[in-house]
Amino acid sequence: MTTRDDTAAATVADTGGADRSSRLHHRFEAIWGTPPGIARLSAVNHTSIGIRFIVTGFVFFVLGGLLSMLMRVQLALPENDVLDEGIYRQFFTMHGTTMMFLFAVPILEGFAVYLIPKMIGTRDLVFPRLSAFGYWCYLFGGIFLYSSFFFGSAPDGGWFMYVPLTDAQFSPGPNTDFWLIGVTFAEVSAVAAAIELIVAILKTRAPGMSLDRMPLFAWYILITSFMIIFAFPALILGSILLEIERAFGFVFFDAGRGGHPLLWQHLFWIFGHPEVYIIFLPAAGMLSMIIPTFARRPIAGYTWIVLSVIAIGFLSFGLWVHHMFTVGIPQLALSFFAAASMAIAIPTGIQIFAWIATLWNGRPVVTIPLLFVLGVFFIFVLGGLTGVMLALVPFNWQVHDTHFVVAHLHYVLIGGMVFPLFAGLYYWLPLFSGRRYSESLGRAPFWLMFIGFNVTFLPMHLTGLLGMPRRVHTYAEGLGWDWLNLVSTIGSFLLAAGIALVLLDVILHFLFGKRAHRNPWNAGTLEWAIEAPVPTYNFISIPRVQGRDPLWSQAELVNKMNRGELFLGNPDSDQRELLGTNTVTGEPESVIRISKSTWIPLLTALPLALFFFGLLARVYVLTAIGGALVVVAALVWLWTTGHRQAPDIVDAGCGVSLPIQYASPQAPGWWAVCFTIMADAVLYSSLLFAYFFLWTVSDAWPPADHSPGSLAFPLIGIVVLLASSAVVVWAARCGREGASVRFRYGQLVALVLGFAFLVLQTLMLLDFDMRPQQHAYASLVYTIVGFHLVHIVIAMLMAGFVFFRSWFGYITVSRQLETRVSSIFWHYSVFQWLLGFGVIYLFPAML
Amino acid sequence: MTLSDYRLDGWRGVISGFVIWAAYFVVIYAYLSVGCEKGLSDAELLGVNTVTLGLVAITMAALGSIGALGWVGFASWRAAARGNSEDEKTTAGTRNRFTGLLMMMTSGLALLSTILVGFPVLLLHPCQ
Repeated sequence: MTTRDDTAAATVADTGGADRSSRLHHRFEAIWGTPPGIARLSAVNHTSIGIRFIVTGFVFFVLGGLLSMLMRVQLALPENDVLDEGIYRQFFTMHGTTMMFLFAVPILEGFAVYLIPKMIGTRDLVFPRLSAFGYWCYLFGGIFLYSSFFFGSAPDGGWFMYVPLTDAQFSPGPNTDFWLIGVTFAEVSAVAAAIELIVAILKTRAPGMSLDRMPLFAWYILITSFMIIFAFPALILGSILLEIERAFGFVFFDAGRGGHPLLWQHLFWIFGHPEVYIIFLPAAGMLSMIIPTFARRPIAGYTWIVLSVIAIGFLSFGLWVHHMFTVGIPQLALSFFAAASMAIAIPTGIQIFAWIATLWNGRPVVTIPLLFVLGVFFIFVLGGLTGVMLALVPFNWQVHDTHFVVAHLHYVLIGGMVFPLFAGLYYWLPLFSGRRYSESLGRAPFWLMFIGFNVTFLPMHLTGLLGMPRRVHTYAEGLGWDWLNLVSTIGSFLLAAGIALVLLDVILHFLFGKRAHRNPWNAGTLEWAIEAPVPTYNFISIPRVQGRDPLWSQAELVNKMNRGELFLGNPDSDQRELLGTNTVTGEPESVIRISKSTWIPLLTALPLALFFFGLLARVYVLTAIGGALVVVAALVWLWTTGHRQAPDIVDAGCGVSLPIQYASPQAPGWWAVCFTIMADAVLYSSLLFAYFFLWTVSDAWPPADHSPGSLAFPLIGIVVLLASSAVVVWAARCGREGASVRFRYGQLVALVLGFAFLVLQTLMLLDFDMRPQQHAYASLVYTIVGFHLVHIVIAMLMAGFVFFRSWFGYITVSRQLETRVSSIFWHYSVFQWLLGFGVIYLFPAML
Repeated sequence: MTLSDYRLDGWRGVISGFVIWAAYFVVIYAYLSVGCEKGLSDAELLGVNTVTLGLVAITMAALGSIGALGWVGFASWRAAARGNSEDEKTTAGTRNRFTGLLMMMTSGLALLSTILVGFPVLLLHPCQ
């Protein structure tokens, strides 16, 4: 059996007189390559994972599209009976759910996972195992959702799953459970990818790539990823609450027992409106990369575009109530959201003007990607204008829940996401395949799509204005909707034919396309410095960039890079290495060693699937087994991430020596845990929001028959928790000073205090005079306490982990990363309970 | 040290205007909701509804803070532009000019958004 070293050495020997670049290519390929056969499933490299996300996303796009075709067939004629009402409900629910959760977000994250490392000049994402784990979660979540069709129980409550329609009384079957569990599973993937992309963009850009030189796509993905961190937890929390209300009889949305259905709408749309921009921004990022290339000049208004992306990132969180204009909220509050909904048109407009200015001042070449871009201008701008109309409260009331809204959202989403995606697909195809598509073949699908789209959705503005509601499976003759619906259906077939032709064109180009040379478009950004199709390691050595379009301004960059003369050009370590750089300046700070191919992500995602399946089937033994196996898999995952023998300082090339990440204060792991805590804090804030929302709408909070129990257990609990934090601080200081035995004692004492707190909280709940099934107040108290206890258990697992890592020599005076990660999580968990204690015990006393 | 001498470096300055806007938005919506639900709008001060007064005060505080940030951004941008005239292509100079300008621009847009969102407070009764 040959080792990788043998293979690499043999390869070097075989190539003999080949040039240095070729030898380096073979050596890096040996380190970064994906194993063949079934072992491909163990790949963690961003190129493989990105392609998987993209291909799977397209599969779901086709499935979601087929559902919509069947819906259009049903609506083609009045009083049609191709689909009955129940099936129609399942189809429109799964169409929306598929397009939003299984196509739009994952495929754009897939493009980001694939492209971002190449654009910012690095070899991979910083947490390759997390990339692979995210993909498996997405795939399993999608399979979960679609498996519901085999049981005749596909979700049928609409993609926003409003209660009480979806509560246990009105939706007693498993349809809603499939949605809640499947979507939550897929959302884990979105959050994981977002955290990883943020850390990659902030910490692994090529040297010299300061914030003002970042490719615009990286800016868009950075902001989008932050939006995912702040938006998705609200829906994850909503889904958890609805599932435990359905499964265990807790109360959050049942008005008869202190809950309120509007709570679901708030949680859903706090996620749901930013979601629209989470989909739009990466697609707009693609446009900002494509337009300068085909205009053959740098983008106009780079700073203005960054301004608009940041502004959209924030403003999009101030729009959610415009989906709830008809629920009876005071007019002044509606005006806040109407104003924010109109304000967001300003940054969106800035972007569009910057794109037009780039084309105006350039020498545009109308290729297929640019055709799709021009299609975006027409379609998305129309959708944006109807969006401003819908932001006006009186107009919104008039067309609420009509086909006008359906037309608007498709103009925005297909114009703002699908057309840019197809532009991007054609633009970056040479990277994927090493081949060029046919310019002549690609024009027919574009025109079919463009005409088909407008013929489908333009009439819906009219049917909507004529009063046709959304989600009706049929309609009576003679209401003036007949011919408009028929036209829409004909248009939808044209659109579908266009999409099918694009997919056929792409498949054909893989078979018959001409070979593409490096940088076929003469683009300026780093992904085009790579040979096509791209090698697994991306760059033989990492270049220093001196501008926003390095390929246009640094003539010798590619040659130097390929000769291994720049950073990390020496493969002798036999490790997958990245360069860690400064967040703002992009100057080198550390060398990051990352994981090679491994089965661990799949073996972690599988028991997680068992965990969710147990919840769905309400066989909680399976949930417990799945949960325990996930913990075991996670511990194995973490234990195998360190390199105990790696030197603290390594040669990074170009005469620079840098600390390895475990010894660097700027390690990616540290940043990742900070962003994870941020996402978790949003989840917790959403839970506290639920508490305060129900307080504002309730007559008596806590309910009149509730008497506050003894404060003894909670007060002792607070003291114990604060003491544990002090011990963790002391232990960390001991660790930094080299007193590893005292460090380990500190972890043990923290564990004991954590366990004591668990016991005290259990006693406190036993002392509580209400069951969670009685009233929303009790449900929230139990949920807040339970949510926090899960954190304490995780903190204890982390403390136990660092105890053993110290014991086995992974944690030393110079390698404090794991201690820092474990400590900050401990303190965060303690802080969480200080808030929880205040909400549960102090707030009611103040009322 | 005057406001013009103050610097907010890198990404913090770039997002701070909108962070204040986001906080402002959450606070006014929460204050309005709680105020109306819990009967604060029944009270008056100087003949003006107390909920409206509170909203105006919060809006003025937000406008003042964002305006100050915008001024800091403007000063940072000017300082970077002055100090960098001979060395146009140094990374530090161009970067500071970029972040200063961006801070000023984001603060400007956040200011405009705050005015747009806050203006109806003067026109509408808070709880109808």
